Amino acid sequence: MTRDKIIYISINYILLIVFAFAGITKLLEQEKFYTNLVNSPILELPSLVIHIIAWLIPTLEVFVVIGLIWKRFQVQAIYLIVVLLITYIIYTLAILLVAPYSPCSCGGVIALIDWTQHLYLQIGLLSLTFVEMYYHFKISKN
Amino acid sequence: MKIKMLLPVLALIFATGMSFTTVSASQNAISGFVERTPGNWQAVNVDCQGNQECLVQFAGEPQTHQVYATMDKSQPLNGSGEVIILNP
Repeated sequence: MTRDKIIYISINYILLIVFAFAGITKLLEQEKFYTNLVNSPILELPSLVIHIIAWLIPTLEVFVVIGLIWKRFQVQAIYLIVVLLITYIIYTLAILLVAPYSPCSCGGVIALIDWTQHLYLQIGLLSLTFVEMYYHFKISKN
Repeated sequence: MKIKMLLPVLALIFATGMSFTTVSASQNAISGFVERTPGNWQAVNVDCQGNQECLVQFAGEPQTHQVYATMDKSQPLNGSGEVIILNP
């Protein structure tokens, strides 16, 4: 196994564990996730839209996990991760810079970190995803 | 070939187990109590952080409730001052 492949697979596992944890936790704590979104200081949306978002986000995260496991859909999964992480970063920046107050962060172990740390985590994961993307295309070419 | 499939599945099992453990731990967490009707206290799990009042409102009900640390009004919790909406 080449060094490139080891890096690629390692990042793949990190992303798989992070997204599986995030998605499953949100599905298990669906009501709590919905309550967090309803109480968000920047999402002033109708209840139905919040309900859809509360189901859509964890569903997409589960799709990411399936895509990362299933080799055929790995590229799509990587693109979806980029879209999700950019969305999270924009939301976190809005919370930090625009919102009148910072609400409860979110569920899971990640609830232990504040919004600034969340932002660093998301930027770190996005950087890892770009590295993953680079190695994916590099390995595919060879 | 088998190991290629086995390792991601193990990672998935690990993440699933971690999710269930985290959820069951957080469900037991009670952050405060509200007096929903006079003399009728209810435990709530809300994030009270800030220097103002920690207020909650049950969806579909007009009145807001102050969150207290115990089932009496001696220790009101501080929050953001915004009303947190909870499902009844």
